[in-house]
Amino acid sequence: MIQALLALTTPTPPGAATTTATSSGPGVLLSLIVWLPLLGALVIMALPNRSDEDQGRIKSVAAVFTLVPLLLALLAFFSTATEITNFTYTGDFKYVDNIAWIGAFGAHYKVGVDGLSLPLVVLSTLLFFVAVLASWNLKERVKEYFILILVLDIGVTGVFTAMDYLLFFIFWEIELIPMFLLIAIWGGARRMYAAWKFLLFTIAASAALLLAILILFFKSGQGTFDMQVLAQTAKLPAALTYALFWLFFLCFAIKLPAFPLHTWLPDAHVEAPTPVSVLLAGILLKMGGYGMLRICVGQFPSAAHKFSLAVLALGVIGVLWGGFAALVQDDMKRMVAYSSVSHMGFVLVGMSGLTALSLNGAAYQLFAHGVITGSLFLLVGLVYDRTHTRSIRELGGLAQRMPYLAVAWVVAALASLGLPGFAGFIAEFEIFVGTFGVHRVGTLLAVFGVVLSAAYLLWMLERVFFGAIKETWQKLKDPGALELGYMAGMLAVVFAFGALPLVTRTLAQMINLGVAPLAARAGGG
Amino acid sequence: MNAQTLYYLLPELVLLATALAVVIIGLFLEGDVEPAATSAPARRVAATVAIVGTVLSFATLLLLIPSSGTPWDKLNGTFVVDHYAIFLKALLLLFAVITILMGYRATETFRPHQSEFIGLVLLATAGGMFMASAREMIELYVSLETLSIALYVMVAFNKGERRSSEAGFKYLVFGAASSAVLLYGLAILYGLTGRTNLDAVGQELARAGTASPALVLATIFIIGGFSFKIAAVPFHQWVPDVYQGAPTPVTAFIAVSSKTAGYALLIRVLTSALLPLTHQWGMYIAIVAAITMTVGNVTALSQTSVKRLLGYSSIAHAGYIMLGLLAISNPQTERLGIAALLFYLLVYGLTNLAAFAALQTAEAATGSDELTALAGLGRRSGGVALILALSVLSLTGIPPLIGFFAKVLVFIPAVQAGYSWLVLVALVNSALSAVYYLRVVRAMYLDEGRAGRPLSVGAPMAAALAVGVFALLPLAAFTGVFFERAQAAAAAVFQR
Repeated sequence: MIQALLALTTPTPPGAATTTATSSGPGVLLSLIVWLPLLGALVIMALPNRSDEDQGRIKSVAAVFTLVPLLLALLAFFSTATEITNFTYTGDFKYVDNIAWIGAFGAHYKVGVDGLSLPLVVLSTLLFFVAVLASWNLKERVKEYFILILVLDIGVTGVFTAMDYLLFFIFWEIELIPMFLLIAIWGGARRMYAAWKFLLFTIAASAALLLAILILFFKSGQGTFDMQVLAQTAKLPAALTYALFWLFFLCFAIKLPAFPLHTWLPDAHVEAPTPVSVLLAGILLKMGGYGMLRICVGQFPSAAHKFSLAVLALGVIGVLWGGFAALVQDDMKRMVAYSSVSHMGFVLVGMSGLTALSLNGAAYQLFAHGVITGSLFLLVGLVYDRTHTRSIRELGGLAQRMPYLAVAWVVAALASLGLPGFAGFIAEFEIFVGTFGVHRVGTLLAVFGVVLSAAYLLWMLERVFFGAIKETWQKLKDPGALELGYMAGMLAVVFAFGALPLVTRTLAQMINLGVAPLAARAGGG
Repeated sequence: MNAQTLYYLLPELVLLATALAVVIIGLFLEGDVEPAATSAPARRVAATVAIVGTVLSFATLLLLIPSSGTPWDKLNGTFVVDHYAIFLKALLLLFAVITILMGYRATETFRPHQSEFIGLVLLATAGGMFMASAREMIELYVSLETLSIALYVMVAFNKGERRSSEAGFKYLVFGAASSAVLLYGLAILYGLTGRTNLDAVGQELARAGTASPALVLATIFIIGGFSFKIAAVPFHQWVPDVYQGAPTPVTAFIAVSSKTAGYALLIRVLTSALLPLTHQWGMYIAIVAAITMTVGNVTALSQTSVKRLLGYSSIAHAGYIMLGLLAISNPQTERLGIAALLFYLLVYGLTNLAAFAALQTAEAATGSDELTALAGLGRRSGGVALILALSVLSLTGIPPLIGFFAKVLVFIPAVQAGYSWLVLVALVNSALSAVYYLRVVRAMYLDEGRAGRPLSVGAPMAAALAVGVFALLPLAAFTGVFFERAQAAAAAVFQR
């Protein structure tokens, strides 16, 4: 099994093929993916918002301007996949768009994707489109809502594509204000508390990030913010490298979130409206994980090596803490939120392993968890829309009245607990196998997290969907075609990237091509 | 004085002629006791003439660009036209146009002195433009007073209102005191060197080598005197009262043009007469900057009036801007630092004008400048609220808004010049400032307010707001382009 997986993730290109130059693709494609939502936001700004018809038009515009980037991202994904199958793709950055921006400081507008970031671009464009669909029934302040969603889209896809530290920071920050307002205006009862808490944590993260970037810029003395150049040439004293590693780590750990900086997450999730939760868990957390791999490992491999035990400890504590906390929640959404903390802990575990396989697993987990937890939050939202409660205790026997929804729930829950055949399994398996050789005890403890997630998910399913149905829920009906449609789409993705050999292999190879340089620099096997 | 001299003075002359024309037009078109209906045409004519005159002045300024590569300082070396002066004059003219547009509707309440108000804006701008070119103590002082005296009148323009009169009086007293301090400093400098030309003073001081106590005193007095104009410690106490009491367009004008002109002169003095004393004033400015930004931000936390809040924010920004001055102490970073400072002035100016324009629109509808009056503005008038929100977020320095770039650009040379501790103070201050700026955003979008009709925005105000919108978002993408202009300007100021 291990051998099979290793074979799966390590393509063996024929020697001749690696030397052929690959076309890197037009840079404008990526810039379109990032900036089209801005055009959408401007169009919506110009639209009137007086009648229901106007609202329908606004929603359609938002759908179009998230669907087109999704299609473009898929185009990039599949053309890269074809190149991988033909062994013509070597893992370099593709679709690079590079324009001088602030000459005096060597800052560039430079975007591009490699095997690590391309899947995340696909993930984010997918989830933004789904989030727009999931917001179709929104009635309140529709115009502002979709403008904020589209602005958020720019920031997130920008983070995954930026190849310049200053640009990375700019995109990182774009997310702050829209997310704050989305929680604070459209959130639940305690929205103000949750929004401010989110804001304070995020501002702290940003301050650390900016400080780290500026120190890196000054101390490297290269006069550039270019990520690739700095990763290859920056010669820093060891102490400074360690300090910078922890500064970046602090920022990404807040976003991921890692124990003990995760406390903003359950509040933000519970109060945020469903589509915003989907985005928050599905993509925004991935920004933290992506930063960990791209910057903490990619820029500071020696520090990542030195502190791998600390990272492991934080990861394992996160896995167990999140898992146990999820076990005792009564609010379904809070439970899913804590399960996110737990599953993001696996990313840290994989990162601490620093082997090719464990890093592959961490990157795979980012993608898998994005789709799976996105689905879970959508499902929580669908239950809440119909029952107006998320309390597990109050629900029961829903499967009798909502069979389709129950099936979707079971599938998503099984995927989330890491059942083979779904995307999450591959990720977690790679993480455990890859890390076990390095940190035996830690990995064993982390594996216990899978047991925990089986416990809280199955127990929740049993209490909510099975057993005797309560009188109150006799009149419930299954969700409509739109909801079942996007749910089916999401779960199909979860299944495809976990079971279909061709699809899974393509993604695994793509990620491996992106992660291999990181693993090589980190000195792992 | 010959034809060539007049040619180089053309932008200022055009502006002064326009100012006079506007006042004279007003004299004929609006009487003392005429009803409002008949005064509207007067206002329209006066504003149109003023804007045409400003644009003409701008056009003549552009004519001077080709010849400004080699600095021209005739008039016995008192008046210099270089890239630096032209950059700042362009800024001042831009700010003047926006102020006139902003004030178009507000001037109605100034009847029967509407055209005088517009004339004063132009006169003050002309004073500021002379400041940008001044290279001699007497001219420096006269141009500074031209700007100041026009402002004293403008602050008290709502003479029926107690707060406006009080603000005018306070402004006058503080202005006079700081003027006296500045003059004293200049007098000592003259006494020590026997020169009034700033470059000559610098050469004399460089030759003398050592800094006598009198010289240090003079330096502190001169920088202290300028701190009134740029709203820095210790002459900053007038800011909140004047910002709140003055009519909003005047507040905006003081916040933007007066500060820009003040920095124009301060940079000129620091890079010419006081250049040999870099080590003496470097630490003084660093400490003043740290105190200024901290005082501004900490006090702003407890404000309930948005105008006062923006006043304290203006003090805080005076502190950030001073970081650019510190780069002068290091020949490696001096140009980058001044370029960053000039870019900051552009950004700060446009952002503040946008904020005040939006605030004035809201104030006209609610009749109050309190934070609570902004409640629900997001629903009531989305566009105006968005502009105010974007401008305060830009002032906070949240990317991708332009304010972030301005801040980072002044931070970088300051670090390179060895003032990392001060940049750290500035970073902490920026984070602190988020608290009160976000309070404005919160009031508009999250607090429940009275429902009301959308605010009425006239065409002139819409134009002013449009400039603001451009400044807030697309400008960030062109940071490189504008920064190059600023770099050319900064290079000129160090050309000797």
